[in-house]
Amino acid sequence: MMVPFIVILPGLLGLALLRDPHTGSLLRLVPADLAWSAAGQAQGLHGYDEVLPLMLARYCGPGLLGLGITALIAGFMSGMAGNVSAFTTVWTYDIYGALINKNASDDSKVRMGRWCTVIGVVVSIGTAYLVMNAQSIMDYVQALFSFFIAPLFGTVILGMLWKRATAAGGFWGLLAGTMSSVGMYVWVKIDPGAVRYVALSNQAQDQAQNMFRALWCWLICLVVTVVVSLLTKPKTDAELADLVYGLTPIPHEEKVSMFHSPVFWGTVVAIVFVILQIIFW
Amino acid sequence: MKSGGALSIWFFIGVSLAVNGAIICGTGIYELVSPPEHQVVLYNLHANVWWGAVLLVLGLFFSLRFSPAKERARMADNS
Repeated sequence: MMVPFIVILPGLLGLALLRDPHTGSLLRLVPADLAWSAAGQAQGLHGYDEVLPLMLARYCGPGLLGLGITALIAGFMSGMAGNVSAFTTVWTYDIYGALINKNASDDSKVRMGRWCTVIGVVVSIGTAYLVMNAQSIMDYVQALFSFFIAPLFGTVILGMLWKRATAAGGFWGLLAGTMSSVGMYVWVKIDPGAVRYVALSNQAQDQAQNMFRALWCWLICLVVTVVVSLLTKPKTDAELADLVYGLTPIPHEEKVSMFHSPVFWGTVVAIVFVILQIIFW
Repeated sequence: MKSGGALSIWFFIGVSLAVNGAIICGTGIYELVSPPEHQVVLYNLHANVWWGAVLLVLGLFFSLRFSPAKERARMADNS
């Protein structure tokens, strides 16, 4: 619930507050390619990604401005450090140690981890060039979410709630979901007219395409997982105990006050969600 | 959270906050005395002064509360 407030609220504030210092009129933010084009630079246009730096420059003088920029850079660095560290751990332990070299010594794993860190940083730098092709960082992130997070959600939700789901079903469902999402993205890039099939409209912008792509690949992941699972041998109930809903004893919920009840807060979130949908429909 | 020895990581966080706070508060006071030619929006709120002061106070609190001398005394008490 808080993420939209942290990520989107500064953008909305910028939309309402950022003004041209010379004319006093509200700034019109534009896509990155227009903002950074020669014509855009000549007109002094700004891209969506520049909201936070513009807000900092508008409200923070020397001193606070340095702190704000330091905080931004620290946030970027910690995010990148966390991701590179996760990449190194997953590769070294779950792939290299588990599948490629099962008898790897600790020294060998440490060496592999160090090389992974270096490669991870180089890949991270490379992805920055990919972002340059997107209209904004938000579009790029949402495209990645539609490739990986949406199908993963389908796999996780079925794996948690459906005891008939099998490992093969999960693998092929996730693969089909991810590949279909990437496929739809490439299809629209090659033939922009395909957007009317992917996003049900000729006018759909990047964000709408991302949302529709996420929906389709989630559905594809679910269907493939269910079909493959039904065609493959399920695990026994004993093997799934404590892993799947229905085969896991649910802890008894003690009577607690309303403000400590998850049901109460879940209901509040649902009501706020509906209200926001009605307001911003 | 500690990284070996008697030095707490909160001591370093306190020092960092205090130094940043002193610089920001100092800049704010300097701007009060000699206002800049190009002022930021809401300059009249003097955010540098009070925000720097908040950081400075918080930093001094952490620096003193988790100072190496206090940590050593606490460890000696526990041993």
